Amino acid sequence: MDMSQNQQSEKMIEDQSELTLGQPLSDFLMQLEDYHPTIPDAVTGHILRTSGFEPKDPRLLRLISIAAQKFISDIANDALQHCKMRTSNSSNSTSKSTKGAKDRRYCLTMEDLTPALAEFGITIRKPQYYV
Amino acid sequence: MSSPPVDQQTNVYRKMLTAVISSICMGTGFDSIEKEALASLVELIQCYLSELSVICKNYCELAGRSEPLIADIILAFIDMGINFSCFEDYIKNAKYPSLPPIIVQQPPKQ
Repeated sequence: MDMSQNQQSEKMIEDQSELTLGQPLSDFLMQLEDYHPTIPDAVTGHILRTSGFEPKDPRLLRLISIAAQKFISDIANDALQHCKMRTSNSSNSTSKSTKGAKDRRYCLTMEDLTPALAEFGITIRKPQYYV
Repeated sequence: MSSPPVDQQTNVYRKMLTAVISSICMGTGFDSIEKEALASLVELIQCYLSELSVICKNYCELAGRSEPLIADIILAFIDMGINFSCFEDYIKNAKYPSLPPIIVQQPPKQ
């Protein structure tokens, strides 16, 4: 009895995984018809064209834009956590900060960006110069 | 005619990417960003997009097609280790403003 139940549950899990692998992207692609990502289609299109890849369907462009956008926002989120931790530590040590936690301003610096990128396996070094 | 200053010679697409990065960072909760960090992120997003498109193109050509399909992009996502199942939640929760569409400047009528 237990064996058959186990087999059934395994089968159900397999069915669910089959559904989640194929199903969502076709549905998701339909939603992209009206969605406008932050990266303009023209910009993504240009960068893709310089690499020799030219999708005619704008939904494919948008899918790629969303991937890039999510990548950057994940990094920015990580950097924000680093920034918050750093500022809270420094304010605790001085304990003289008159500003409340709410009106603190956050600036994205290389100091926060470097550990955030290191978590994604990207090593970043300070460039020698900028033109 | 003298050439424009170095800052203005940069590609217009990079300028758009700078605006994109800025709006994403502001949406995340930052108030300001260092010039170096901004330039690094612009470089990063451009590199990311080119890498993704090269992989997509290779998968497309491997299948003997010139017209890309969604399947090529899925394979490229898997290749780069991108989890595309969370995209749907991402676009629902994201509160980033989309940039205004690019308006082609019309030459003034004479």
